[in-house]
Amino acid sequence: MARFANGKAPFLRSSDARNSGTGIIMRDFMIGLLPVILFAWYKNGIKVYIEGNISFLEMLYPLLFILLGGLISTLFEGLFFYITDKEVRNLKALGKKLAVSYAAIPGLILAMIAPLYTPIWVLMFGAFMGTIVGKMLFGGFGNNIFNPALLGYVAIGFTMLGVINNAGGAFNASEVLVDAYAGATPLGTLAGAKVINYDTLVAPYGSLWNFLLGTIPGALAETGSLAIIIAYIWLAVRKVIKWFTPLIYVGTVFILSWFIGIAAGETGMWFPLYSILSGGLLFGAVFMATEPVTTPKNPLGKIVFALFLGVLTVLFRFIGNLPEGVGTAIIVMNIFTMPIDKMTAVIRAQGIKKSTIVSIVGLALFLIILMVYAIVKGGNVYSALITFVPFIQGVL
Amino acid sequence: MKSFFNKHGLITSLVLIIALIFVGGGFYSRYMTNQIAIHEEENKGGELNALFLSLFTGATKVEEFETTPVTVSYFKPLSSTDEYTPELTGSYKVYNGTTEVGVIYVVTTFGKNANLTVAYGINLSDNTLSGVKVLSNEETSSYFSALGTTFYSQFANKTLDDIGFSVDAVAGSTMSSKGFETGMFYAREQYAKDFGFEIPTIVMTLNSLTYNLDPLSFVDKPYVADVTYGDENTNVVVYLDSAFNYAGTVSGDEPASDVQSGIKSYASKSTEVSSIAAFVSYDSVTRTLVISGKGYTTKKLIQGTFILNTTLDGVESFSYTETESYDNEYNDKYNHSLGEIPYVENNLTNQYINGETEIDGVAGASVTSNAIKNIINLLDLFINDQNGGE
Repeated sequence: MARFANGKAPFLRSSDARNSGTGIIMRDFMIGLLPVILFAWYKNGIKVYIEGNISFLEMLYPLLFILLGGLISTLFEGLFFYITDKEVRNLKALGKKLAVSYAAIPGLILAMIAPLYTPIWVLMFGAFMGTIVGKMLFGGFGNNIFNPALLGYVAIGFTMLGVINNAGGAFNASEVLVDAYAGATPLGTLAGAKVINYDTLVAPYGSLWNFLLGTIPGALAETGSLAIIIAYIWLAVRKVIKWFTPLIYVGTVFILSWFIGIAAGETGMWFPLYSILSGGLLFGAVFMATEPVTTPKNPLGKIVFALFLGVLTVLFRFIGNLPEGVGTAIIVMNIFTMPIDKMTAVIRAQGIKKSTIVSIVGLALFLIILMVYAIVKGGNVYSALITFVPFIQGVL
Repeated sequence: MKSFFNKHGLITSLVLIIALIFVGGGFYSRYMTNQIAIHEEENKGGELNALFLSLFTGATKVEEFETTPVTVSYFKPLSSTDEYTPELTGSYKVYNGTTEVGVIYVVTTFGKNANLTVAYGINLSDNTLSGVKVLSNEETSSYFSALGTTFYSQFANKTLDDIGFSVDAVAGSTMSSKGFETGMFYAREQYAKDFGFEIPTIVMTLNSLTYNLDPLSFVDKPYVADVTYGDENTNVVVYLDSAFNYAGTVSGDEPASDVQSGIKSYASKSTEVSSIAAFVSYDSVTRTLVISGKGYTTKKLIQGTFILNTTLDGVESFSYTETESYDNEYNDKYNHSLGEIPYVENNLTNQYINGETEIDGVAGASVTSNAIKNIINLLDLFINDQNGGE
């Protein structure tokens, strides 16, 4: 049943209030990013400088790199506005346009999920792909289908990975000195070793505490799990994001990883914890899976979206060729945002009825099949489980 | 110009800033990437520095110095034909504050398989070795790991006046041990050239080096050396152990330690005896002689047991422990035509028993054949000795 506001006119939407609206949301979002940016700078710059492994100029690089990401995408967007809109050919008008377009965010986030030694021209290419192709060509802020930062990330990931690795990759100057890392991030080790074993996956990086604190190798800001959790709490409390979306996403990965661990004969809780604290899962769950434009609007849609994200992430991680699965999973699910939104809106509006039951059963079935597939296929890669189920092996 | 900027100033500025970021960022990124290699080098240098400092107590600084490497050739370990020249790959002075306390020579010598790079630290105050550190090796890891702390500790405080460097080789890693020793000889040559150190020499003639055929002592003292030394032509006959260390006197006075060291140096370079085979035991009641030899399977020795006939001038029967492998394709060439396992051992020993003066080895099994020939040589010497040479 539709709900109507009652009371006396004039009616004001809460989003129009001074302390609400998109501007406030974006301000809070930026505040949420702050601990993660600072941690990225601390881990890859300040800490390494204190350890005596880099110069002062190198110490500044991680921070400048992230800020440059924001500046570059703002400049690209400004350029786009200037070229496409005759009304925006003076600084004042351009400033106004950029302010409501939140132009800095795609580049900022892209820089945060890029490896430390990504050359700045590669960052520019990624920011161009994210801002211009991923955002502006779709009509700008509020109209884009894909998360712009992720589109930029996928673009440089597919085309410039060799360039990034040749330039130095993700390891900072202190991390390259640690022989135990053997030049691999935790998820890189999992993809290479193909074993679920604490001594192989966790011990070289210290303990799970290191994973929580973020003192493990990885892209600039993705490893700072604790900082991301703080950001999550802040954003959830400020109602910038729905609290349950990251929780369901991360929870799905946790449970599926746990089952895959069990299938491989590893029943300890360390493996699912390792799975959620490795790579960009927490970062993606908090800052990307909750993005208001490219993810479903209604709560049921968000739940379905997050569940699928979890399953796809596990599938990509355990079965795909790339160690990370978060970016690809979110980009893939961005495509389905609109159908999910429509389908779940109908279910929410009409409840469980004859007309909606097909959609509900269909979605649930598809999700369950994907989950079972992920576990069985994950087990196939990492254990001998599948040999006991030849039928499944034949089918899958 | 002013009108241009009024009209196009914004776009020009935007493009210029982007271009500036592109160029400046490019330089910054390049700087960051270049720094990686520099840090790696610094770190390597730092590690090496720490390693070198650890060779000297209280040392505070290591500085590289230029020197002209000496050229000296040595036989490869356990070879009397293959020569090689060690290479000086680094020379460093070590300081305690401003006082020069030591010198380090990094020498690439030859181990079992290939190069072995070792740093030799020498105390300037008393011409002793402060220690050695392995910088790199290309040996089989299991083989090389046999060289433990006991082996390396032998080098600490060893005087360069020791003419033959009495370093005990480690069983199972003899050739690597010898490689260390050769590197040490080379480092001493370099040190003598750089710091005017006089390498000790002793006038000595090794008259003979033979196997000890006395069953009561041949296990611990397998060799007997007859030596004349010094200005007064002092003659002494001494026992040597398996590493050619002095092990007792047969005749003459016990020589001084520098002479013992000299004897070792001469004996270890001599080709008159081979360490491939050695006596293990002899039971005079049962006339059972046991001799071991180093064959292809280096981890286990070939052991031959020979029962001599009653007149002690021949072999009544013999047997071998089967330590060599005869079931792989390497042995396919000969294993069906030579009789019972172990084919090579039996074949060569039967040649000897049948009175062949020249024992023929088996093609494709040259290492095993060589070991058996050495065993048979010892057997023959023992029989001749027991039978009074008749």
